[in-house]
Amino acid sequence: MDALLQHLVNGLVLGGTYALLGIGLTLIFGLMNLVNFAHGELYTLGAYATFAALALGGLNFFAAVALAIALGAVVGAACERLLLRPLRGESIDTTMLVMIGLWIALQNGELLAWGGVAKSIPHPFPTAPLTLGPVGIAPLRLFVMATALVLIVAAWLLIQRTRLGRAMRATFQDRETAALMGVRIDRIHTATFAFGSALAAAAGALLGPIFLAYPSMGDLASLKAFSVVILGGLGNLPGATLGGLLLGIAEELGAGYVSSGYRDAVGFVIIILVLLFRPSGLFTRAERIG
Amino acid sequence: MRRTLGALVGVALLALPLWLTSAYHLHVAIMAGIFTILALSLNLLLGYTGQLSLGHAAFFGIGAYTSALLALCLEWPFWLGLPAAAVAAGLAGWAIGRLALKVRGAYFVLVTISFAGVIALVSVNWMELTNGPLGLPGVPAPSLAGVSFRTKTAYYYLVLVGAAGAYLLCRRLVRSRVGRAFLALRENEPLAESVGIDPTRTLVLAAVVSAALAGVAGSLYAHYTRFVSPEVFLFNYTVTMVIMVVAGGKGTLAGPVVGALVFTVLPEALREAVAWQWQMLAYGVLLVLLVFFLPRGIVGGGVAVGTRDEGPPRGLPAEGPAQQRRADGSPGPALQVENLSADFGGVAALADVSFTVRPGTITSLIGPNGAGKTTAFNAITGFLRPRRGRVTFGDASLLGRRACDIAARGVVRTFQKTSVFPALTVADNVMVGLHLAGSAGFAAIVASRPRVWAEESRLRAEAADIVEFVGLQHRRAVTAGSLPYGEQRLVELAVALAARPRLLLLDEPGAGMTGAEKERLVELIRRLREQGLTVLLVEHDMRLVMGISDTVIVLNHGRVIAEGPPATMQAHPDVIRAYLGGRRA
Amino acid sequence: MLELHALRAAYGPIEALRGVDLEVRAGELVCLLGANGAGKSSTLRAISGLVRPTGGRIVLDGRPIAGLPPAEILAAGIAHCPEGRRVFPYLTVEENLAMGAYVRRDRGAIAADMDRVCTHFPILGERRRQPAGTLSGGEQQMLAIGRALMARPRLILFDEPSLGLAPTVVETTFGIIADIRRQGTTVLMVEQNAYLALQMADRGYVMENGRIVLSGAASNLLSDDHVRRAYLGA
Repeated sequence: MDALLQHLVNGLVLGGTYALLGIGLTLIFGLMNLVNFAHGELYTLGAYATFAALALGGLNFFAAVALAIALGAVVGAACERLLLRPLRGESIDTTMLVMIGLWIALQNGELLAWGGVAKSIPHPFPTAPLTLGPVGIAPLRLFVMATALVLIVAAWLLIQRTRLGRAMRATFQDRETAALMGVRIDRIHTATFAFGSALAAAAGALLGPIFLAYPSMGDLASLKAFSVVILGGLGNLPGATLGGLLLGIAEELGAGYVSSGYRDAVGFVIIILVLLFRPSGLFTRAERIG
Repeated sequence: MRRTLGALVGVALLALPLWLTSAYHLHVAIMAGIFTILALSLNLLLGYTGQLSLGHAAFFGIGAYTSALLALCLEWPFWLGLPAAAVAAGLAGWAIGRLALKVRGAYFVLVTISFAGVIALVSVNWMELTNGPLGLPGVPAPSLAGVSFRTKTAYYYLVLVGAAGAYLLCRRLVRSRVGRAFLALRENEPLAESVGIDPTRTLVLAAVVSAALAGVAGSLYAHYTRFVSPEVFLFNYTVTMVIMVVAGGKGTLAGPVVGALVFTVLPEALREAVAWQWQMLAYGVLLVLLVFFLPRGIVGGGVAVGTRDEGPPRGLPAEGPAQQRRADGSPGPALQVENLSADFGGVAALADVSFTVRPGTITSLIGPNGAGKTTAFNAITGFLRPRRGRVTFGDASLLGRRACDIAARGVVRTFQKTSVFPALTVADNVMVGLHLAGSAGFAAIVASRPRVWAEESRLRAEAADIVEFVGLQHRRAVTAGSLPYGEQRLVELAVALAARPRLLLLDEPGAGMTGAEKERLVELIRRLREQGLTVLLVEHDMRLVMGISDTVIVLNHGRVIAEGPPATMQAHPDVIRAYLGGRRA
Repeated sequence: MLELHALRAAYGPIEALRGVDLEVRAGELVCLLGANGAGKSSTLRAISGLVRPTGGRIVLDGRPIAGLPPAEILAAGIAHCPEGRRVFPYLTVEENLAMGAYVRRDRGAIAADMDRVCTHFPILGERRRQPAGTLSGGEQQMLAIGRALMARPRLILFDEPSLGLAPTVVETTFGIIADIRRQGTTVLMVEQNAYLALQMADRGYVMENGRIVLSGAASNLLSDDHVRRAYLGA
């Protein structure tokens, strides 16, 4: 029983960051009808940015994480403006190919910049785990879970309570009428992509210190983000949150009780099964985007 | 001209080992050959059916492992291992194809990636079978009648045969009825369905052939490197394949070949100068640039389908196409719609609609905006599942059948928004419409049986007749997408006629047409009726409707409110009220 | 107030408007009639900026506005209540109304307007926090109208307000439109339900094939057989 609880807690830590990845992607995929294969690269960028800020810039840990998130937003906005906006209206195949190109370029850029050896990201937390009843949790992981939670709540608030969030939701539900209301669809696209990228970078900045940073870390992250999106339904924020948590827990339980080698297969299997049997996602009854 | 070029290339390829004496260069040539097969296989899915598979490395790997394991564990000779690899990969392709039933586009891509990911993980973790990350060393080289293919020269010729065979297979497939069906699905799936093409079967066929070819490449690779490890599932291979196809030119035959050559030779040539990480980086940037500046790739042509020059159309009598096929001469059966109810967009769009379309007549379905006319079309032709009711055409029930099956029974429709296959020529558009008139299957096409080519000629002649009937013979080699609007609508009509309808449903055929174009349309429809075709028409242009119809059925709020000859409908108080509103006292 | 001169517009290769001339004077209720596909909706969409005209002019109080984006048209005082209501189904009633005021910046006044709309349409006030998709057809129409009002327009474009609504609801809706007009807002209304529209209107235009073929005082058009013929052929 204790082991189960431990797995659950670990799963929640992971799941929180998966939720961040998934929320960002579901907004991008849902709103812009864009298969963002480069999403994982923003995750990688977040981790490496944190590393760079700490190792080269000498910033403190929290500032480094914040910087990484901000950088994610900026890079996301730049990608959208330069690469995606000119391709608006092209078929989904075309945009997919561009995103794949961006993915390859970014990943190999990281490889060239930092080398293939994984980098360990220093953090200020003590390594001894805190004991909360039957479970133990490293302070770093607790920080990660708490920050992920804060960011998820912030994302919800942005979407639900702000004028921008309302405009995003309206654009998702009825693009033409949103335009009629005076919403500048172009800017919504840029904002959405920047926002989603910032969340991905946040996930990378948070998980980097736990798992090391290496250039291809984004590949699996991308896939998991996609499976979260598919689980939760396109554009479904609460679905993505729940889906992320579920995926994290499922992975932990799978690794603990079945086999750790197939841990990453959970995400793949989810994609295949859900698309086979419930293509619209598990939580479709819930509202979409907000 | 083309033939001499082809012959020259062939001779050059055969003589290659004579002047490429270094083992390294031969190695590059062999790898180029293997990748040619891979690129051709991916092109079938990506270029021709328009579905992007990012899991092709899985089929490659399955082929490699199958062939290697059969040789190592069961001591099967290569000549059995190769087909077995094709079969194993083909089965995987079948599974993916069935999945494609449900999902398209981005979701299909994700499924292929996931599939490849699962297979990769299995190969790493299932130690008993695959020996995990250590891989399977010592895969034997093929041998034939005591002669071993160990030497690079010998293997080069083996791969050359394989690549040539793959090219030939793709060429025959692409220029056939099946290839046209692939393209039709890529260009306009609903239209393809409406002329009887079965999307499921066609996509599955494409996936199986594509996967099997990749499996062949895998087998060739395994027996060449004589070592198989989970590295074959590396995403790098898939990326390279995609670049080859896209940069070479997807949807063409030469494109993947050129792409494979360039992107095998180039990295090797640059290997000394440039580290592979820079190459991969360059690939990424290149892909982005290609999409922006060279979307059609190096080869850059359009769609090379049926480019055999058929010359001027034969001098057959210019009777309408319908004439030739209605051997019994009588018009088809009646269409009976009873108590049809359907929902659309959360609203009851049709409520208890009943009417009969008598054979050999022109019947029009009219009604104000939102009355349910297109919903009725969709429900009758299988594009929408109704909640209740009966639809019978003669003695066959249409309800619940798939759109392609309904088309096979002679009920063909056109669409409200112009629907053609934009990248195909007018003649090829009509050839797609003639899909059900042909019967050449995959095996016969690949074997290039004479009856296949006889059938093609016959279909081309028939297509020429139909094109002439709608008056587009001067446009028959023009790409449909570049035609002016009014002519595109005529192409649409021609495609529908090619599907040999006994009942033709036209959805706003006159929309957007000029007055002159509408008159031409009316003329065509009248001629069709003279030949015994039954026509059901939805139109908003009342002058057109009233001028051409035998019967007019009026819908409002999803119900039939009146039915009768045009003049009666124009003066009918309920109809007037439906369109103009009631006068208050 | 609003004038259209020789307006042309196209959707890709299809010419929807082939030279439309019409005029709406301040305080009027003008209706735009015609069969389906005649170009009525396209005319409204060209005015509100959803479609870029390919020729001709649109002038509002002397200022040319053709081709401006919807945000600027709204700022200039024209609101568009689109065909089929088009409320945002998963936004609440309140959020839908807020979207109507998207281009406005005066927070306090927006809140006051929202209260006023909810008082004027009590059903909306009752269902303030419900998702708009759960409202009935008639209620959604009210919401769409309220949303248009939130922009404080001087001219409202209505696109087939009666579409898909039961007859009693249609009466209520037209009553609301008449009210709006009485309070000083100018109205340009597209309707298929010609007679009902003409009974409310000052003047009317009939369109066919992208052009105006008939125009005049509403009372004249009511008794003119031309209208029936334009809809149902000769």
